[in-house]
Amino acid sequence: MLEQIEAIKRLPSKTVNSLKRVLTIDFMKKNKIMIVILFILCIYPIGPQMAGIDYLIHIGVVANIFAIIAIAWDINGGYTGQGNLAPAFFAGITGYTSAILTTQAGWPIAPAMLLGIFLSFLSAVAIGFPSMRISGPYLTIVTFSVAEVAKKLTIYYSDVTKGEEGIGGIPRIFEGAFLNFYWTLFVLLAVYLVAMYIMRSKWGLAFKAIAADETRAQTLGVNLLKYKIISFSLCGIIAGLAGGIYAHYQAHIDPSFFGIIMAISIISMAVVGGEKTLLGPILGAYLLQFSMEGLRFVVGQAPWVRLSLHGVLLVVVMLFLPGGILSIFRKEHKEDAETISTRVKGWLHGIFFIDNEPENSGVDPELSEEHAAEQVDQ
Amino acid sequence: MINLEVLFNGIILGSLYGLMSSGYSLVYGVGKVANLAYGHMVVASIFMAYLTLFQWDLIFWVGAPIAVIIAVLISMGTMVLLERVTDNDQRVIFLSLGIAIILENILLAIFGGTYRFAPTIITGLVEFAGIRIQTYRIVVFVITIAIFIGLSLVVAKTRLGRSMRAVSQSEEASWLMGIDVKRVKFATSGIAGALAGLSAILLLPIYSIYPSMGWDYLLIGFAIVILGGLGSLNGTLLGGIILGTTESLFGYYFIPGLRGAVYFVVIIIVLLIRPRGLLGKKEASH
Repeated sequence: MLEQIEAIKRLPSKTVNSLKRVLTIDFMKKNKIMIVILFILCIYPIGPQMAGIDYLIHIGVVANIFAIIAIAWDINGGYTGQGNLAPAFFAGITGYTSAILTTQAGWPIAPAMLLGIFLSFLSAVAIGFPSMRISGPYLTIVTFSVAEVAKKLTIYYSDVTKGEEGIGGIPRIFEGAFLNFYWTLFVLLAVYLVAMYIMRSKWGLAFKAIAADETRAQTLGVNLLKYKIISFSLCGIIAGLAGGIYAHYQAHIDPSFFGIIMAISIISMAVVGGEKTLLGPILGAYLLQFSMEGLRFVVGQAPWVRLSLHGVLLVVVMLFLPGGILSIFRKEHKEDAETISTRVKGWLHGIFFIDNEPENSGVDPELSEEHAAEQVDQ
Repeated sequence: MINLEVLFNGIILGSLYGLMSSGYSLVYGVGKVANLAYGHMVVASIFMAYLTLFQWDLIFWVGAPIAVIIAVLISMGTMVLLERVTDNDQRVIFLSLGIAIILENILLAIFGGTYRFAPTIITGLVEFAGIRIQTYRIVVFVITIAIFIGLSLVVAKTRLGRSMRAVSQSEEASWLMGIDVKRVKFATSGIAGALAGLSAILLLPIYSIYPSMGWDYLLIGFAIVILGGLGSLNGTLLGGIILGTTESLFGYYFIPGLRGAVYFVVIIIVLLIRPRGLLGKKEASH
């Protein structure tokens, strides 16, 4: 113990300060949910391993990988506010590059994955440039069509990509679900910490400024082009890393990885867990992955029930809980959760009495003016 | 020498695409609501028409209106939900994507994922100066142009059309002028649903039907609306014809499997060179 403390003292002071900050009780009290979730993640596979149910660990591994892609999306789509539908596309690029190079050109895994990540970085930069001129639904459609074209090209050039069946027999990095779980969890935590560091740095501030109001951010001296491209390329690199790990874990990759369903499932993970948080994507990935697999037992093999789960969750969260599940626990978003019932009432009211404004009905006009003034102040 | 049959078929198909996208153009132009479930609405209507006309064997004048009504209902229902979140672009996008997924999976649950083909009601070929075109497609072209003329008249002459144009220019100002903005938006989404339903009935025998084709229609619709210019009906027709022709010629002369890539290239080029489209007006400053 003493030796370790000595070792910590010898570290550069910046690191020591951040370590000290992490190790204080105060920090733990402030981040209760985070610590609970990370702790549960760390001990999760021990139970299934003792019981010998590899399948449960396998779901965890996939959830870890999707959580990484969801974090990648969250940096770009959540914090920077870009309606990006291409996170799965970035992941697919690395997955395919690495799969093709290792199975057909005989490359080792590490350089193949690095090249793949570099390619998804380049494609992210290429998508980042148009984001200067277009925004909102237009950007969503552009990123969506990029992914769709990638899917069509993959199916079309089937001599390299093996068409719709996909590439099989990709070499694994680690064998066994237990080892893979801790390996993916390690990458997930590393990505989580790096992302947390980035979001607290100048970059993160710039991202949030862009999301809040682009014109204002530009007026205040945020270089839009630079930070948008940084945001996109971060998304590309992190999602690419996860895509490579996915291909080398499943030993198989197919064009559905580029498809819209994959993109939406990843976004719904981030959004359901909590957009603009880093813990949200992890929570959402686990929640959705486990409920999808759980539904398999309840409804059998009918795929449409499981697939529509994403849609239903997206609709419900967007209507009633825009901050995601995490916002229920968070103080600063607490009012969001408290207004759910009001929201449901207003919503029902809107369906049956379309003409009446629910907030104005039966309320003194002066009072409602005060209410409006309050909202402006907020 | 361009193959004239392919060219004419492309023009006819393009006009139909234009009709399909006009509803989208109206909703987006008037309500500023990007309804990404629009493609699936069209597909739901196509399936409804297939169900009523070919499985229940209803007569055309009973089956077709049911399909149109379904599209109108879905369109207005989507509008009820989207109306709640219009203040935030991203929430509109994800909410409509969620609705799209739900619609797709409902269709998948009812009809399964198999490809279906519907026979044409009107058969036969028309031969004209050495070019042979299916009679059905000529009928489609005539109906499409007729609907377009009717729609332009509605937008140009009626009270509803005037209020739609007013709302599309400025919501606040038209609200101050005594226009019931909410009602106009709902009426617009109803008209859009009707247009989607009509184009769905016309599209029914042209392509094979399967639940996930909604994404393709979404891309087509968006590409045409961007190309033609937002809120411009003539632009939508022109954009549709250009896109349909390009797609058919590309599919005929180059790679049939990559026809879908045309939409993407069109979207990118137009957005980068002329973001307001061919006939679009410059957007008013906020």
